[in-house]
Amino acid sequence: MVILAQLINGLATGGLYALVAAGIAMIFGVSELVNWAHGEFLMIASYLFFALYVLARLPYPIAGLCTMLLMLAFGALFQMIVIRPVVHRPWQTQLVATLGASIFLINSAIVVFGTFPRRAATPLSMQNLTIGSLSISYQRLLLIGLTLFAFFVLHMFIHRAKLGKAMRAVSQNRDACVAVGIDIQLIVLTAFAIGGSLVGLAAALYAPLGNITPLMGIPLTFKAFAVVIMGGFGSVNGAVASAVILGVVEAFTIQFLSSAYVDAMSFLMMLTVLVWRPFGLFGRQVGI
Amino acid sequence: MDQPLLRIERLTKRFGGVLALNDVSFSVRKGDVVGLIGPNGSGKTTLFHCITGFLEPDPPSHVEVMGESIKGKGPDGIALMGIVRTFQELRVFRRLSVIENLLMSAQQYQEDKIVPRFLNTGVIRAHEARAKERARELLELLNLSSSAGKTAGSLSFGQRKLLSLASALMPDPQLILLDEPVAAVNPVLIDKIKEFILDMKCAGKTFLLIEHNMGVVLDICDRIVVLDHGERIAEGAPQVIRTDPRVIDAYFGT
Amino acid sequence: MPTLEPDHDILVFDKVEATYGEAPILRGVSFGVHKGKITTLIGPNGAGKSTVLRAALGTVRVTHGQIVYRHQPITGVSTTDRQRKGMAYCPQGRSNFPRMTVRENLEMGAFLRSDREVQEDIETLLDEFPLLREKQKEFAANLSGGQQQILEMAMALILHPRILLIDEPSLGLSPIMVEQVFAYVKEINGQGVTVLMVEQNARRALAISDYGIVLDLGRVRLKDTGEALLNNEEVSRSYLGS
Repeated sequence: MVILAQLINGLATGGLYALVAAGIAMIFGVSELVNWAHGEFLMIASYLFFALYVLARLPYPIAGLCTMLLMLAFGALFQMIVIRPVVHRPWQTQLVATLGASIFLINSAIVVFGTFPRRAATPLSMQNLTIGSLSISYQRLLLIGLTLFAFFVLHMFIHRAKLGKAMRAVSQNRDACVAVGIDIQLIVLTAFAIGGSLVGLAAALYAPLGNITPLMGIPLTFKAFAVVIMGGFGSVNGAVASAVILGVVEAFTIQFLSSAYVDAMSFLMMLTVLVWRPFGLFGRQVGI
Repeated sequence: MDQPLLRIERLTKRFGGVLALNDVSFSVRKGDVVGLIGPNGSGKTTLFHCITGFLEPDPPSHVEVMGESIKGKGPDGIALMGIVRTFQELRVFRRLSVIENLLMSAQQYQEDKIVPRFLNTGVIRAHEARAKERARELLELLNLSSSAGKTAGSLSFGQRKLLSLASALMPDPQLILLDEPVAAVNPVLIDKIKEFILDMKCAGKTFLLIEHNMGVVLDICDRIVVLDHGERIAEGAPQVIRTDPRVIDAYFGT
Repeated sequence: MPTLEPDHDILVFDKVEATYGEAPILRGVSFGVHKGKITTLIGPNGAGKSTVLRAALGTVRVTHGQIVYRHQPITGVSTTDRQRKGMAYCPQGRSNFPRMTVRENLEMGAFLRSDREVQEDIETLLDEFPLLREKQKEFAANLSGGQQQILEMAMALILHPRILLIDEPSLGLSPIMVEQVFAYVKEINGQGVTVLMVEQNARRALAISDYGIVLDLGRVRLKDTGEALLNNEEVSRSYLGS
């Protein structure tokens, strides 16, 4: 029973990592740059959710949906303001641009909300499903279910929709995109918008389970980055799969070793994968 | 007994269920120019990958260079046995200048001589002077002299192609594997490259080249090996290959 | 001063200069492309041939001079707008999407179109190129080099172009496929599409071309009919080889 409970906890954590990592992988796939501010996207989204749900007292589903939509716009805006000016610059410049944006976002949050941790508990996060000795909060079950649904929608979008197909196209051959008239900047903007809305969903689902602080995004960026590397850079499916694996491994680490080893574990996993399979767990195919 | 420079026996390579190379055997004698031709997708580049350690051949393959098996050597170990190659797609150092690219490939046999390098001894200086001389000569030949100081990334596709050819000719290898050396190259320059390869052959160098330009293959090759669907369907002198009905059917067309 | 521009030219370069990084590539290139004909650019490596195509498409910045397309100067017109106005481009080397199916590749070729006839046009193209129909559900990477080149040409045709800019279609192809690709170029031209082609396989290319332009060191050296260039001894010696 303990094992099953930890497995479900692990899947929930993995879901959070997956929602963040998928955005980083997708953005890398189409633009070849790493968005080091992606963890801060989650932080901003969590405060947005806090503002909508706790301060403005919107019903939970509506607050969640609004967070997603606002984050979609935030992602698009971020691409236009921060990314577009450095698109043709060397990777060092791009690194500084996204890192700088991350610092700016963290400090803006400190100015607006202060450093005191905020909470946005929902009724679901306080009720547990109990079967025998197994006890799981409904919020985690909702998280797992909606994350699965979100990835199903994302998969359909990437494989069926014209814009989704164009995203795959950009990740496979940029010269050919120019030849057929695909506007690469538009596709990169789309990736940022989708990445933003996935993080918005993550915030709406995960913020009720923990504290919201200005610094909450930093460890997540690194975890998600580790996951993206394990999955094979730029591969969304690979990132999602490794995120889930990492979540479960962490949950068992907490159960059987100590919560102090959690972070060490994720980077140990990344190192092992890199030594054993340099192109990531799922082979060398790069692309969405 | 005359030992071949390169001996390929029963070379086989599978990708999943696809047999990319099926039991291919042939050998290359020292001083020969051997052409490897065949339709697109017939396994020519895979064969190059297998004999330069970029791909591991499947059993019962056996490849040896001057009597020594290449098994387990890896691309760097095989390069040290005296085999250099070019790639179909371009592999140049885009942010180094043209001349730096060439000097880079002349360095590959000195990696273990760190101390003399550091001290910049006379031996190293002499070696560098020779390398520069050689680089200039190659750039002159390939009409790249005026681009020597430009970054490789600023060259046109065809010029980068020429640069990778020059890089392969920079060190002093035994066997030179060229993958479509004259694709995207101007015809007048192709004539010069042909002559140059023949000059190097006279100096004792050995070539195995993949090429679709029949003017080149028929003119400079001593022997031609034809692959189709991963199998060796013909081998022989150019005149024989030119009239072989199987080759005409699979490759030349009528 | 307005450019003198004969009615029959669909694309005119007027003293066009372009640089790549700091190096000048085109140093005042002037020529016209005759509507409905095949024109081939030949010349040594690094002469600026590919840059001419990219300048026409607008992916290389023109620093001086102007390009006139269908009697309108197109300075400042975006690449996608040029494509909407009937310019199609097949770049050098492989320019398809390797891990998308042949059909998806064709759909991407139609990216700029939003009308409902796209699927119909894809069917028509698959009829025209039976080998693509046979492989429509396979990844482009599983096609042979020649088949990929034909796929790329088909991708360009979905936009119903008026002019096709095509860069070394014969690159890396076996002799049998070179014949087939050139035959398709001829056929596309037969359907009324003007072709501006860059080729190092110069003799073959000139043989199917109406006009040839010799480019050297960023300047036009010579323009004549394909046949005349083939028979010109000076051109043979300097640009066509033995």
